Amino acid sequence: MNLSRSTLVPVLGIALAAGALTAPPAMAQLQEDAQTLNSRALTSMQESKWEEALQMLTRCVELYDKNALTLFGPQFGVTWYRKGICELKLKRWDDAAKSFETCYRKYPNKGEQVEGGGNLYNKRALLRWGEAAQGAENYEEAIRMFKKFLEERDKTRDNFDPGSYYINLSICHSKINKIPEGIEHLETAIKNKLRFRTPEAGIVAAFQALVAAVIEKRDEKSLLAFIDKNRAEIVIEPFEMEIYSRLFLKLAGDAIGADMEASAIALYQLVPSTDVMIEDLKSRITRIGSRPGVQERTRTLVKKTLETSRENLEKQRREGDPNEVIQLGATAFVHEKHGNTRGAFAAYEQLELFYNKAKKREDNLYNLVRTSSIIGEVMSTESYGSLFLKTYPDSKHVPAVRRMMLTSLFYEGEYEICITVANEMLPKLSEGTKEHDICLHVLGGSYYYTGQYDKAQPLLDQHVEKYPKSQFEQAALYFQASNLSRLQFWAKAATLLDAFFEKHSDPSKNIYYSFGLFDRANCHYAEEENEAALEKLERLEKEFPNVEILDMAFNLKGNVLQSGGKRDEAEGYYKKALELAERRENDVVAGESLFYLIAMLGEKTVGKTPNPRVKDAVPYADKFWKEHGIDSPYKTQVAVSQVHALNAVDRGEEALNRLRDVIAEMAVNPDSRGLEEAINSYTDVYLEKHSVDELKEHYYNFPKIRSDNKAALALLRIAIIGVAESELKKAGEDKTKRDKAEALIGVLFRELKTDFDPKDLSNYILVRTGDFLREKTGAPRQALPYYDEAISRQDQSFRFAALFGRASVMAEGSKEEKTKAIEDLKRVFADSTEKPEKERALYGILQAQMSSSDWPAAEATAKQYLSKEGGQSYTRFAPEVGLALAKTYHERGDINNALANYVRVWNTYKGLIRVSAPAIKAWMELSWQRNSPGGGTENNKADRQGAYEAGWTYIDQTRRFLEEKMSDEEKKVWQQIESLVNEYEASSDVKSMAKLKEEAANRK
Amino acid sequence: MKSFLPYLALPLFASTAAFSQQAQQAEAFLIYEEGDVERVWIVASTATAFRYKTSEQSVDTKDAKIDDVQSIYILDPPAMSEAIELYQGRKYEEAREKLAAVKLAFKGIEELPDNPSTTAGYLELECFRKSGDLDGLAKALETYDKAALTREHQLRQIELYAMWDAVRTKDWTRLESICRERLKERMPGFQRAQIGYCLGLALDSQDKLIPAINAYNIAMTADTGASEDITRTAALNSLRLYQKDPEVQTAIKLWGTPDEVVGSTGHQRLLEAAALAELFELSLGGGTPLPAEFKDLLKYVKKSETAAAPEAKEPAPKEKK
Repeated sequence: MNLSRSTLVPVLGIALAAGALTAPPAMAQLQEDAQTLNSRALTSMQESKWEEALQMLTRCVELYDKNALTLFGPQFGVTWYRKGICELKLKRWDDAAKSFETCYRKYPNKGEQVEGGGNLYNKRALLRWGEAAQGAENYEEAIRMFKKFLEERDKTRDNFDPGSYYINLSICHSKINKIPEGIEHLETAIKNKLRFRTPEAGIVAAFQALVAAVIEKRDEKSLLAFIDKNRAEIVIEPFEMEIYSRLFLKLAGDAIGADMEASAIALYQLVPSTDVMIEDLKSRITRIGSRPGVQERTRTLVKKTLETSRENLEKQRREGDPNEVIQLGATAFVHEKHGNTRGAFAAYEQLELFYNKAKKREDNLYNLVRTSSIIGEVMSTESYGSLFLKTYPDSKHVPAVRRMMLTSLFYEGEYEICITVANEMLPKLSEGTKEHDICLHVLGGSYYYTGQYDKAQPLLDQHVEKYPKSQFEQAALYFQASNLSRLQFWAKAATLLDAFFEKHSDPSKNIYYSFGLFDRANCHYAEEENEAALEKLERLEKEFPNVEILDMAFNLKGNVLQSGGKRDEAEGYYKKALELAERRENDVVAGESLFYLIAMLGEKTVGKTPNPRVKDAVPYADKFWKEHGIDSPYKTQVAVSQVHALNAVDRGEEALNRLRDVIAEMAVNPDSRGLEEAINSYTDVYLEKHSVDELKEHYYNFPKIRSDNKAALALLRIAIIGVAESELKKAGEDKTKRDKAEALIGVLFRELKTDFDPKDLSNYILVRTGDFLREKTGAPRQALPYYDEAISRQDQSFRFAALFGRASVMAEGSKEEKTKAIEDLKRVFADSTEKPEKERALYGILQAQMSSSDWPAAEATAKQYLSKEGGQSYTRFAPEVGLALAKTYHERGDINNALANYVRVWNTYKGLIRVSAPAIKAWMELSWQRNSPGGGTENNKADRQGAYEAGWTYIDQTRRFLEEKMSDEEKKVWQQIESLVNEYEASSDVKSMAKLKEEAANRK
Repeated sequence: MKSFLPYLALPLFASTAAFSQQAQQAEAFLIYEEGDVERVWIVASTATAFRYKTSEQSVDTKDAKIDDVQSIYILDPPAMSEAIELYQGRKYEEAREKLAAVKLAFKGIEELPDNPSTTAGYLELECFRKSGDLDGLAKALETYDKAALTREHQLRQIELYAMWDAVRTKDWTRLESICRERLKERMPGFQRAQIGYCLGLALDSQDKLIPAINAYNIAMTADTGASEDITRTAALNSLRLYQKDPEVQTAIKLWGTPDEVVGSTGHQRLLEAAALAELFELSLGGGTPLPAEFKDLLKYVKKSETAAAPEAKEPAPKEKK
């Protein structure tokens, strides 16, 4: 429907019914006489045969117009008027205007012949002329004619339809952008809607013209004021709205296109809900019944029209594109454009939930995923993203949706969900694709952020290797290096961080630069490179004064300064960190700063002298509990470190109570970090004023820990055991005390074993109980269920300790058990990131292989241990490993290699009797047995002489350890060596040391 | 013209109190199966029969069974048209008075489908709701008979008043439960707007800030803000919640300082709040000025670069705390 050029021509009844040419012309007898032509034309007009009528009227004016005034007088003007009407109907606007002009100008009601009827339409022609001019888009002329008609019309005769008249005036004014006048005439038409019988179609046409003018002139205020003022009149009843609704939506769309969102929204609001329109139509159609229509007071309801409207709306709804789809889409656009993405999300979600058959559903659903991602509704991003991928697997938006699903989760910090989603997704993605790139990055990054550094590292390494040109390349390099620092591979992390700085050297283009500096400083600090750490932290402070982690960097700087003995400067930085963290409302860091201040200021001694400032920690401790006492993760540390300070101000009981409360609180989660330390501190403080027995009694009934909290109760029992063990050490040679302590320990462990099911115990307690049973009892195999339980759990804590424990028991068992022990230790060696643990595991493997007499495997393990390849440097068990290596050759009869390795061991570790003694003993015996004569080009000593001399020298040099430092076992071997020396000396193959000395003296 | 049996012989109206001689007559067309039509003025009705006159001024009446006609097409009385104009013009107080008068005037024919009394009563309830007079709504509902309503959305609206009653009695848990269930249904936008708004109130009262703001956004968008009363209040409530959000408060404190964290949650929400304040002035307020307590939010307005937004920009890494 194009209303823009329509004019509202009133019913032509008057023009058609009246006005027959009453005076028969001279040519009346002819077929083409004016009367006949008019009469026939009139019939055609009544049948809406406008072209036919026009031909006759044109013929009439061609034949008679020249003399018409003479022949017919002014009434011939009616012919021109009728001709104009036909032309108006045929939209021949200029012709029509000319016809009406002729009717008006040439045939005024003057002279004698007026009495015969005259030109009935002389003035009304002005109105039609205006309509023709309007049709020809000659709006100025149209307005002039309309006004002229009103001025000149004969009120008794020239009736007109005022509703249409004012509508047309409004349209013409709007068309020439005279908005106030357009509004004025439209308001006249609608305020008098009932009286003027103003048609809805006319109101809509005028409103459309007004909106167009407003958009063109960017005069939004006028439109909004008009709507606000005339809302009641321009709101069309739902059943009538179907035919106009799409027009209103189009006008609103035009307004959006012109950046007039307020107008657009106002226009959208005029369109009622599709359901409401349908229900209104149904209700009225039912009420009309079998009638074709109903004439109400001011309008006619045509059943067929209503049915068509209902069908149209139902079709739109059925096909999924009712008006609401446009309205909600536009609402989303306006809200998002202004920055209320949450509003856009709400609109898109409604589109998906209630209009998901829309043709543009793909875009709508994509926008829903997109907006949910922007506002951080990650669950929606996830669920709608999944729906999108399932519904539109080939959409161009698929890569973006995949990215948004993961990246939105990732950037919102939903790392656990990222891990679940990415783990599921990664195997399905092809390597080398962008999706794989993102998925790998997010998974690695999520492990990184959740502290699962061991899992993160291979993924981060893989990402760096596979996607050097990834959009995440910079982040990937940073995560890789930073993650290594969290794994405490300080040297490697430092290397990668340095490379990262070199590659992305411009801090303005590297958002990770400051974080990298922080990590690098941490590496330096860990490697005791305090100066370098300070240099990085100073750069961070100077170059990135606004960085998020600056408060953390201040704390680290405090740590570095404190470890360098610069306590005053350290205090200054802890205070700076505190002030900044408080300003930024970063409670965790503020709590951390307070902890450092309390720990440093509250130390009992500084060096060996009493700390004069111990009381200064008290205000910080009070502040901590007041402001961070509920949520801070540093509660335990503070409870522990404030003890001396509070004691110093006679608040020892409070310190004790605080520790007790923290223990009780943490006991709810017995795996809480620091719980053991808290209990130990509490134990120390408690024992200052109580006996061990009282401690035992107290711990068996610890306040606020429920009897079913087995894990926490077990931890307290372990603490008592710890005290008993320390009593045992203190007992020294006091047998009474030793017996008492040992008895107590035995009882406590037995109770621990009987009172607690291993499933109730934390890994820590399991391992400690296992270790006790293994090391301190005659039934070490009883430890196995405790180790097995700890190893079987998802929780990885104390995993390696349990594996070590189990391997130690197994290594003493059958061949199969030995093999199992080696498997456990290999697991530790492969998985542990701690060098000491790896070293200990490798040594354990060697011991088990030696015990199994698996000499080739033992040789390989020993060589692996002693190797320096790749910067590896294991030294802790190097003497024992060297001895074992020699033994592997010895056992297989490889005498030369055995001798070479034995000599290396006893020569290198001479003072370490437990190693050097068996080494030299074996070497002497092997040499004696080999009995090579010596001499040759290198003038080697004979084997037997060499064995004797080396043995004699060894005994001579180590005799001083005999009484003080040697264990019984060492003494025994040493004495065996001494016997061998004596035995060899008595042999005729050997020249004694006395003889050799004598010969030497003689030579001088 | 179809003839009628003299139903006066039936005891139908003679004994019923519902038949009010005081009731105003309603102009109507009686439409018969064959398509005949008769212009009448109905003066009374029951569920099965009605009494009418064949001319407006006549004193004689006829009775007929409702089943004898195919349909009774009652014309809107002029008073009803005036009341509806006021209602459409959002002048709810004035409209309600007129509607109450129409309801009373045509009480005698309230059992006929789509009769002016029932329709006026329905709109009167809506006026109570829209002007926030929930006590008035509850009281009016007690005597309202919905039987003559013919449109599904009107009948649903009567059901939705249970939700508004939960608002009135501040039964937030029940309200949340009703709203969550109702939100699953397809219904006209003006009703979904009500549900979004009420859900917002329920969540708001339980201090669930962001879920409440999300629900208020449903209210603001469901019918493009056509429910001006709900839209305005939902927007203001959202602004209040944004101001209450500690993260937004921090973002305000840090705005423009060296410590400002662009892209933080609080910063993003502050921008949303500012956008909402701007939209309030543009449209959501329905022409009412932005209250003074929210004016400051306009300082933080930052235009969205494009509504067809790009992918989320990569933020700086943040430690999990």
